[in-house]
Amino acid sequence: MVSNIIELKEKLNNEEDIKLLFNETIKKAKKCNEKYNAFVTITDSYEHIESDSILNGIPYSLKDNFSTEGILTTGSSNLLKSYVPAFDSTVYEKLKNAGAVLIGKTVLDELAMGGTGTTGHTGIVKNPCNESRMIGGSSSGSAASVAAGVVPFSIGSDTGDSVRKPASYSGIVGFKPTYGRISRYGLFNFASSLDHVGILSKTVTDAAIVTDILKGYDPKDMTSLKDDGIKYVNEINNDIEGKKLFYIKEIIDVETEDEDVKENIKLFYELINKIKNIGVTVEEVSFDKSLLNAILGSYYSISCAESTSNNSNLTGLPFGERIEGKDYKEIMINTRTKGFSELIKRRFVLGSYILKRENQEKLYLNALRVRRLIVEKMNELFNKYDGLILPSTGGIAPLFNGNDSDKLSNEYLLLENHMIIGNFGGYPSISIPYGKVNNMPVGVNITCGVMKDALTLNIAKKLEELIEYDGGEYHV
Amino acid sequence: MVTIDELKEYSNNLMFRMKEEEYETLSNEFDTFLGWMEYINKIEGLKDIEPMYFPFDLGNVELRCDEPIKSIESDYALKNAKVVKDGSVIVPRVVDGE
Repeated sequence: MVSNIIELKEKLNNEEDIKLLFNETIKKAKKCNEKYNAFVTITDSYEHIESDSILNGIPYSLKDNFSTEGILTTGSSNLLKSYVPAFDSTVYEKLKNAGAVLIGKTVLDELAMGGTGTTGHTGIVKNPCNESRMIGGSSSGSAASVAAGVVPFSIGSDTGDSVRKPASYSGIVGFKPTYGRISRYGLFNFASSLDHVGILSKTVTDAAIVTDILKGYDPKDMTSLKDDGIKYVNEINNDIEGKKLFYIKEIIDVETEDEDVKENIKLFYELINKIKNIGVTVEEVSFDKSLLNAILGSYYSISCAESTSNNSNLTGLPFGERIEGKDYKEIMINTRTKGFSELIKRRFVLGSYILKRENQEKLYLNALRVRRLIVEKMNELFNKYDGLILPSTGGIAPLFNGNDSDKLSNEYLLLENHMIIGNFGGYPSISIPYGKVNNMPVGVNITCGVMKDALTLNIAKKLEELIEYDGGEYHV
Repeated sequence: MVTIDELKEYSNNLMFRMKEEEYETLSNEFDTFLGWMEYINKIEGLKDIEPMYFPFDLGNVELRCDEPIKSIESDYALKNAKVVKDGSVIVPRVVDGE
């Protein structure tokens, strides 16, 4: 399958066809919601702006942390459960003008701060590949809506691996372009220096098609990049013979008793051999393990500090689910106490502690220094190689096991968390499905240097052809 | 080591309450996090490195011209506030008297 978007597009000859497809998609979305709880809101009104874009008439879903004027946007938080924005995010505006048809807003981990799909205010999101397993997060409902065959693409956000990991866990493609390639205007900030807009789709071609529509400078987002003038979908079929990839020994050398992780690593080495057979060089490189072991701590430090500050506007006064009290302070305390889940409160306390004047040097600034060391080393490697290749995760999508998965723990594998590197450096990074372990999909991750978005998609497309992944269909 | 009382002070400053058992979880997380950071603080030569606030140099940052631009009307912006009067968000009186 080359492109779900093109396949659908060929069936759309007029407005009637587009409306019919919308109605069919809404029915699927409702079924998907009953089974997997992917949506906070399923659109009840048909809105379509005619356009000559390739996305004209194509249905899609949008993570519920992108502002949509007049449409409920909750961030999957009780505090915002009735919030209706007064403006559009740039992403939504661009898709609307390209003729794409929004069919629903998808569930996320509350305020995008989590990786399990279990903390949204409307309940847990189940994995369409196996309902007893998580889909990961925070773009949980977006991944479920694509994996279940409701929509050909969905828009998510990725601060640590929030697009790529749920994509990997559900057998679909998850792509985050270079930091700033797509405007963040109207996206609820989590950690502004790490936040990226990302695309979830069934195929690499579709991720390229959607990125082509969304990219470009936006005066409303000072961190957005000027357009590179490249149409990515035209570059994805380039020959990659002679390209050089690397993987990091210290990440892949895992001592584990987990049979799923062992099987995944075996699959990875098999893929590496296949890649070498098509004339691509793949080399093992060594990376300072003390820096790699510092990734997760640095990530938590930076992201919690930034999110505590970013979300201080959630008071319940100018907007949000206000809970009354005897004065404005009590209103804020009541609102924030009832509005935030336990996980969010724990992250905010951590962030507040990190930002305290006497802690900043050791906790916040040292995390930012580690970030620089990792990024500088990666940039050196990207001068020598075209891209990094690694399994997207160590294991398969976890089983639901109470509320433990989002608690900080010393028991973690580097292989489970390495995709954070892509956010530290703002690198274009993609996860594509490459096989099954224990009857669940696993993904392989390609990350390239900054601004090498076309190359990332090109390599991913060629690997997609090589892998010929057939994960089966999970239609609702 | 961060005490439960200190954690309560933080949540109080952040303007929310937490349950007693939630502070226990939080305290354990602090132990984990501070352990990670202790490890990080031992990385040689770290203090001489410039902190990295953004992924790369955002060379194209431009300030817009200092000219008025269209913004949303205040009535519209206030649509999400629960209690509004005369274009303002209403909160309980904090000063006695008329």
